[in-house]
Order: sequence, then structure tokens, then C-alpha cells
Amino acid sequence: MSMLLRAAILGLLTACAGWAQQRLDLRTSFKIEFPPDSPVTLVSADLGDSATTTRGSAMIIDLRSSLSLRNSGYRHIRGITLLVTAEEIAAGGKASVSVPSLNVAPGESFPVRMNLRLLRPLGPVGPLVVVSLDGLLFDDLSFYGPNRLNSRRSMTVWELEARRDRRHFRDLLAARGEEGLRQALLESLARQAERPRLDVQIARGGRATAIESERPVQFAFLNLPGAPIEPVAGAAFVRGNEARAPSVEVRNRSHRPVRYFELSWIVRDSSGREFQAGSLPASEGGPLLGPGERSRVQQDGILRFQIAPGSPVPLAGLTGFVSQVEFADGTVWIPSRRDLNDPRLTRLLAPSPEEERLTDLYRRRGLAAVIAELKKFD
Amino acid sequence: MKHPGEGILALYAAADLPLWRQWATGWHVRRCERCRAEVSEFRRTREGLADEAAGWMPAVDWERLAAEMQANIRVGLAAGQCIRGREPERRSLPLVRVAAVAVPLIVLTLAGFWLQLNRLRTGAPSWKQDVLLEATGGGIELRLGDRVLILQHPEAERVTYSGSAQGSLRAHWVDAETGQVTIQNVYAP
Repeated sequence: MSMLLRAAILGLLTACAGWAQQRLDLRTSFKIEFPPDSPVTLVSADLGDSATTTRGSAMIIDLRSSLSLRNSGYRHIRGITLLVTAEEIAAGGKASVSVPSLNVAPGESFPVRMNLRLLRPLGPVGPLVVVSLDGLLFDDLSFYGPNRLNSRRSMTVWELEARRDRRHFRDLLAARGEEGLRQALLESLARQAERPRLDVQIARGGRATAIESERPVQFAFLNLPGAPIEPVAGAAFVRGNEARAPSVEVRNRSHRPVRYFELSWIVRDSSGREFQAGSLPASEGGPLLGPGERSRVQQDGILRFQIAPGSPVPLAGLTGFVSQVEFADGTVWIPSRRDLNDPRLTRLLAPSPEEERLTDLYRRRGLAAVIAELKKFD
Repeated sequence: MKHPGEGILALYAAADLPLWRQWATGWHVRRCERCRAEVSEFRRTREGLADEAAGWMPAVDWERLAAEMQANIRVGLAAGQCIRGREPERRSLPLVRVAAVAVPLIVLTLAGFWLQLNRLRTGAPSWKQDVLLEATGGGIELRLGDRVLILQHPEAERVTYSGSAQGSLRAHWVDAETGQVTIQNVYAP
């Protein structure tokens, strides 16, 4: 084969490969916006092997970013939430990436990794992804940020859970020594490995399935002794592995007005197996729930449950319990370790992010690293 | 019992039979006294001839002679190439060679394209909805018609998913590289 022909084929293939996969243009496709007075600043944004690919009539944008952020404020950062919007792709849809359980001193830097994929029809490309700061939580539980995703409450819950669980492990260390702490970490790891897991799908909008075949299933409730909210009654419409329009009536049994609350729910399948399914939050921005008052929370989404693709969980029962409450003054209630010390909940509930982090630290680096980490937060 | 012919036995005695035939004849010879005797006779004769040949031509180095003959043959062939003149190289049609390269490439490209399209379609549910949020193997996927947003996580990590009836899906895991807990949320519009 002549050299000319070979060069032509090689050139054609290179052009095809180049056409099919282009490097992502940072300036046009990915925008990072932090407020000018933000207590965190962007040190660098590494886009690694981010790329755009065309496939048929679709364009795929793979964004693999690692942001390096610096605490340019004067307080320790405990958590951060970044808002990810891709308006052109997911009109109105958005995403967030949060990193709780941080301990970033002023002047220190920390990484936030973010990988996402966008699929859209071919066409002109504007700014595809905008990453902005939604909130920062500091060690004194003060907050900075626009809070468009209500990340203040989420991060406060994670921080309170982290404090609760660190205190639990520190108490264990003090009372039962290193061997006691090791035993508790090992038990937690075993629970995490054995915990039954569930995949959830959430749908909104019209549906093709027949509503007539649905049946209402009443919620059973676990009453946590310290919960300021008491669930009274509730039901969801169930069909196969789908639960639609769950609603729950609650009563405020505390002496303080409540702004927001959230219930966790557990589903039981027809063979009696139970799974932690997710949460049923109250609507944002509703009226305050005064002491002794009742309110009904209802969501219109459809949730489908499966153990794995193709293995649906036929729903037979629903159980709910109060998992967080935000009072009108912004303070937050979460269940204590004692509240959660129920064999059923212990078996089913996912550990807090902090317990997961500490047990992972033990698995990777041993007991000494966990003890050192617990002391850092003293 | 069918006995092998004399020729076969002679070749067997000199181990000149093909492998399978050598084994089959040996199997027979071990069980047949008559054939074993004939084989022994052939071997004795062969050894006798070798001794006598050594006595006839003690000065001839057969190995060296064979090597010289082979070398001469090679020289002759090379000389023939020099005087014959260069013939044009036989070539197949360029189109055939291009096709041989291009066709498998095209088939491979089309197969990959089809597989990828198929992979993208498999996540689609069998029922209609305007918005679908679901956990896939490698992330949380928000599907709005022909547009998809996937917040990805490392596939190797042990990820916990949690759905909110309000229309959001959460994944959290411990990042192996940084040791940090990462929590991703995708919210339906």
C-alpha cells in the first residue's frame, strides 16, 4: 500500500476520533461561581480527562473535576455544599455535592471531587454546568451561603449526628478502653456489611399503569421517646413495588413551634424482609406547626423499590418514624443513640456519614488513626 | 492375529515409523513373539551394517560432507537470483487491501455505536413519566425526555442510596482517595 494511502487512512481515523471526542472547553462548558465575600476561595480546578463525545444525534459531556478550595475565613469549616446546575440539560433540575464532617482550619485547603455526565441532543453549546456555593457550615454551627437547597438544615443535621457519634465513640474509649472501641467499630462494620440495601426510583408526571389496581397501605409508626413530633396516621397507595402519594398526619408534642420535620420510612416486602426506603419530608416553606397542633404532610411522587435491576420489592407494609425536626428558631432535633438503640432500627438504618467515615478510617488505617481523629475534634 | 509386514517391522526396528504407527507396531511386537524375534533380527543386522560401514570408509566425515553440500546448494540459488533480473513484485489490488482494513473498522465502529445506544436505552422504564430519578450502577440519573444528567460516583465504593418522596435522590460514600464522606443529591424539577 502506498505511503500516501496509508497516511490518508491514518488522517481520516484521527479526524474521526477527534470529532467523536473533544476535550471539554473549560471556559465555555464549566463555570464556577463563588460570591466575592465567600469564606472559601477556589485554588484550582482540575478537569482531568473531561471530554465531550458525540453518539448518534446526542452529545455526551463527561465532566471529571477536582476542585481545590481554601478556607479564607477565620472559623473552622465543618461542611460545604456546592450547587450544580445544568439548566440547559435539566430544566429546573439540579444537583448538589456536599462534604460533611470536615475540620478545615483557616488558611487550609481541601479537595472536592465532582464527576458528572450530561446527555443532550446535538446543538450549540453554551455554559453547560455552573457550580456555585450553596452553603458552608462552621464549627459554631453558623452558616454562610445562599441556602437555595436548604443545605443549612442538612449540614446542621449531619454535624449534629457527627458530634453525637464522635461522643459515643469517645465515651466508649473512656469507659471500655481501646479494646472496647475496637469492638464497637467492628460491630458497626459488620452491621454495614449485613444491612439490606434498596435501590429507589422516583418518578413524577403522568403514568401508564392503571391507578385502579392500587391499594392504600397504612403506615405503622415507631415512636421515638424524645421526638418532638408524633406521627398519628398515614398511608400510601401501593401497587407492586410502587408507592404513590404517601401522606402522614403528625402532632407537635413539644412546647416549641416547628418549621420542618422529616420522617424516615421502612418498607416490608411480601416475604417479611424489611429495608430502609428513604424519607418523607414536610413541604418547605409551610406554616409553622405550633405546640399541640396537627398537620398533614403529603408528597405526590411515585417511589419504586428494587433490590437490584430486575428484582422489584413487592410492597406489603410501611413503617415510619421521625428522623429530624427543625424548630422555628433554627435549632434542630435528631434522634439520640439511645433512641436508635432498637434492634430493628440498628439492623436497618444506614450509619451516619460520620460513623461511616470513622469505621472506614479504622478499616484502612487502624485504631490509632481513629483515636487521633476523635481527639482532633475535642 | 494380523502381523505387520516385514517392511513395517524393519522401519519399526530403526524407529523410522510415524509416531502413531510406531506406537501401534510396538504394542503388537510386545505381545507377539514371532514379530519380536524378527525385530531383534533387523536390529542385529542394522548394527552389523553400521560396524562394517565404519570399517569401509573410516576417513569420511559424513557430517562435514552434508554441511558442504548444503552450503553449495545455497550459493547456487543465490547466484541464480543475481543473474535472473528483478521481476515486478506481485501485488494485490489496492482497493482490496483498503477494504481489508476498512471493513473490520467500520463493523467495529457500528457495533460499538449500536451497543452504546442500547446501553443508554436500557435504563428507560417501561412506563411513562415526565421525570425519572434513579440510582444506576455508577451514579444518580435524572432523566427528562431526551436529556440526562448523571451525578457519578466511583463504582468501586460502597454507596448508600436514599430517596425522598419530595423528589430527590441521595447517594453517600466515603471517598477512598480523600477519606472524606461525599454526599450527592439530585433534585427533580
